[in-house]
Amino acid sequence: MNGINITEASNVVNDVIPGVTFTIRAATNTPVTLSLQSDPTQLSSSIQGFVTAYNQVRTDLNQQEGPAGGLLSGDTVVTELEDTMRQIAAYTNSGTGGVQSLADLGIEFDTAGNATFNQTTFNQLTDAQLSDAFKFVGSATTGLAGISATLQQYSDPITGLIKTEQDGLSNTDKSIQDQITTLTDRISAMQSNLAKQLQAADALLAGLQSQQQTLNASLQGLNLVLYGKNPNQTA
Amino acid sequence: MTLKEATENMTAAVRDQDLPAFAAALADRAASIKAGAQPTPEIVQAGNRAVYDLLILKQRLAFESARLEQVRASLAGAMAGRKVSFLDYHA
Repeated sequence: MNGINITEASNVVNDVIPGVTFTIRAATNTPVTLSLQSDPTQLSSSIQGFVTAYNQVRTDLNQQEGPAGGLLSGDTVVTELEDTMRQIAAYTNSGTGGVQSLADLGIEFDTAGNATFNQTTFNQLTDAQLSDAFKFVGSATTGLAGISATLQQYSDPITGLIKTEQDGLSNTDKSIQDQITTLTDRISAMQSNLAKQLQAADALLAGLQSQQQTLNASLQGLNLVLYGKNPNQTA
Repeated sequence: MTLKEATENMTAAVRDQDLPAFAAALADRAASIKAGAQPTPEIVQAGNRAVYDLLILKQRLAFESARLEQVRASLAGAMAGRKVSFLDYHA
């Protein structure tokens, strides 16, 4: 290929041109020209997938923001994700080219920040613009995809910031649960002790009242003997 | 122990909210009465005050128990209302 001898194990070749697989159908003594063309449908499908995922994250973030925000309202990860989402939405390719913003790809944003994919705008891209579109989207470390890749530091299921925060919150939750359980046990013990005290106070009160009746009767009897009258009686 | 001393001990016990001491003083008082001790108006009045103080103490105990029940119910409500954190990485 291009003057270089290549040996392949089968007629299906997928390791010569990055991203291209082709089949050798027959032997020939004359040079064969391969004409490659970008497949816009794959890019279109990927953009639609991007828009769907973007809107889902947008919805999730909206639920944690504003006066009716959820439990994660004000959380650092939510704030940082919001910043990253803004960077993605406002991303522009500062270089030259026919595609320099998401709008050029057909991605539009409404006033609520939700994205929609305008297929008509995308279909009107010329071959040159499609080539620029691939450059705009970039790879794992460049272009729009480069920014999107930073989201991985949040979403990684093992080392991601969300997982780290979730683990931290789980530990805090467990600690609070333990504290509540300890407090509840302590309160139950205190209530049990109070119930016993109340029971004892009831018994003592009954005993004291009975004793007072006896003493009152005794005092009245004494007064009757000594003074000939009950001091509680009026003359 | 005289009836007067037992009554004074009872007054101190209810002031200190010491129910075991109160029970002991009440028993001393009963023994003294049984032995034939004659009451004075002051001793009877002290006993009446002790009845009143004991009723107040009972109210305090009941109020404290109700307050603890409120705290316990609040804690139970907090536990029941908690959400289990969940993140579906594959969604």
